[in-house]
Amino acid sequence: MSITRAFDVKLKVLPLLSFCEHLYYYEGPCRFGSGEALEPGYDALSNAQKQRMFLENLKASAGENIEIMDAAVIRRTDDWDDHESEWEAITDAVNACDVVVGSAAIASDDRLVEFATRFTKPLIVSPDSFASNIGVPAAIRALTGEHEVFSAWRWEQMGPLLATLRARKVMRTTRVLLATRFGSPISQSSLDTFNNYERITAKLGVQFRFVNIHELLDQMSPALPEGNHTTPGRQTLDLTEADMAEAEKLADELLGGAAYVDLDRKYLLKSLYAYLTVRKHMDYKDCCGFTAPCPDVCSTRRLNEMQFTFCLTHSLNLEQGIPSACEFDVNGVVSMQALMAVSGKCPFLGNTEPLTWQGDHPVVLGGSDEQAKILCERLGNDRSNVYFMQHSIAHRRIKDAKQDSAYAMQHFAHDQGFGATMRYDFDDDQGKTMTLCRFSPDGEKLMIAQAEVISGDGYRVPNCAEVVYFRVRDVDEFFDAQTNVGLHMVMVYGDYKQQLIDLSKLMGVEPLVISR
Amino acid sequence: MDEQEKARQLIQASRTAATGHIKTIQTAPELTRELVRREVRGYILAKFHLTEADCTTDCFRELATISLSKSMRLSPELVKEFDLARSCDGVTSQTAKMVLLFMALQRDLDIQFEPMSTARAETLSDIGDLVWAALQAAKEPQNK
Repeated sequence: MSITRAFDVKLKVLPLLSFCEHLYYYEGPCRFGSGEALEPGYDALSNAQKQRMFLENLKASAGENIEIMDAAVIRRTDDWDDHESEWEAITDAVNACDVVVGSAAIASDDRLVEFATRFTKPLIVSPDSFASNIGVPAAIRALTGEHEVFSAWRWEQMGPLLATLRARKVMRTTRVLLATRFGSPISQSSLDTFNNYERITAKLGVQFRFVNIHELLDQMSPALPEGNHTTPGRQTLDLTEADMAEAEKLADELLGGAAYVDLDRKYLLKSLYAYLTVRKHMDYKDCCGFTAPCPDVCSTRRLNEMQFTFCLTHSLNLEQGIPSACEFDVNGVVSMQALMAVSGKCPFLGNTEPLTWQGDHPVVLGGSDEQAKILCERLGNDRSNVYFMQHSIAHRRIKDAKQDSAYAMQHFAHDQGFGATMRYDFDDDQGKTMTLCRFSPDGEKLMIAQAEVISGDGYRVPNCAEVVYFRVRDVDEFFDAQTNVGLHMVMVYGDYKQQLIDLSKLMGVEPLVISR
Repeated sequence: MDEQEKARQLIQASRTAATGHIKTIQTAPELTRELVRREVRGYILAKFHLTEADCTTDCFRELATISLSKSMRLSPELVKEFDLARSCDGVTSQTAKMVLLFMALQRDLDIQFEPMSTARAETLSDIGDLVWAALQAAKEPQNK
């Protein structure tokens, strides 16, 4: 039982070398060289040097979370003595890896083609497979059946290719916990979420696990001897004394470290009970992502009764590298995971819309005069192509995934003051490049966009008010593209456009690209 | 003296020097690791037509490149940049030069290297140690 974050997923790469050794002195149309380079014994020494160079280059190209396994070698001589034992010797290593990087040359490269007929693992033909890195993939692609083969002609291509394959592995090992009230695919507020889980699993490899929202809510307190109302007599994942103590500790930390607090501790604790219960379920079901249907639950009146919202659950998940989205936005969660997989950063998500104005006031929920002034100053005379993203799931790791930024704790509900939210001031990030993305509801498209931060808003305002304003290349182009994918966009800082394009193509998803 | 004659004399001098180092190893009354290291170093420099002044590094690969640069009259940087011409088996000139050196050591001293150990050798001292180990192994009864 565990939560495996995108950041923790490793791609296991098996280096596979195929060698031929000449047993006799001779030269001819396929064998050049002179003197001792044609003598028996030369090839064994030469192959050893090639193996060293290949492994050095491969290791140098491998980025973070790429694990290079011990090399596997298959050999033959110019007797063409292809022994079955050669394949048997590498089978365990092949089964244990995610991808094979093969190196071969004339008189040994046919064995990479044979590899593709024997195993289903993706094969990358390496740049040092001089000439074979063209012929081998062509031969494999012409084989009957499905064979995944890539090729590189320079080592600089290897790192990005391995990183993209790792990102796909992240997607394929993602399991999302979905808390549902009504029919599972669509909630009352995220009509643009995935509409067919089976199709998404087939396309992206993401799996989904479910928990009934009422059962989940029942478990956000210590267990009753007779069992919970929704599951009488059953042992469930209710909070323990240790969990309650953990909530107190987290509350101390969150309140103690905040630059600004407008939240009653008793309400913070209630939101933390929700967070800890969700995390127990994620851990129990081996899930690394979460969403709950805010409006569907809201109308049960149980959130009002229990006096919490899920905002803080999402914030705390996100800053730990765990995708977690508001409003049962399942493709928001999966889009976050894609962005985390390629960037190693912790995203933010929100309603993402073109900015409209009433005089000098941007039309956003909870916008303040003070922030409107900052926005206007920063925009100067050019108010064109401005967008905003708004929700209350900001966190401390938006700017730096490894270090906390300054933050505030703000309540959510205007009247009663319940619902803990975490706030981050986007004002400080003016000029930063953002990469945004979102899958379409059918999983067939991934919108990928770049933008530049202008300022923030809603830092000291309750509700879903946290805002980041940003400028896009063309607001109409952005809007049109967005109508194919949906309202919640996901963002991180930095330029990850190409990485997302590569990942999309690898998964058979059409990239909808909006550059700056 | 024309350039060709100069080159011929240089090659001959190198051969003579290399043979001398082999003979010292073969005839030493008491062979030690230090002696083998010293003579193997001299042998490699002779084979690569290098002087001690050329040895700005102890790295075998770097010295192979310096040797190529001397014979090609290009800077070592250019040799690295242009050493892309490969045979069908994908071996660079630098690698071929290193492999031929190991072939020559095996032949001249009647020893055998385990191939991957040659690939792991980084410095001239490492190669001296390889030769020392191979000479010791050759003394073992089962290897005679």
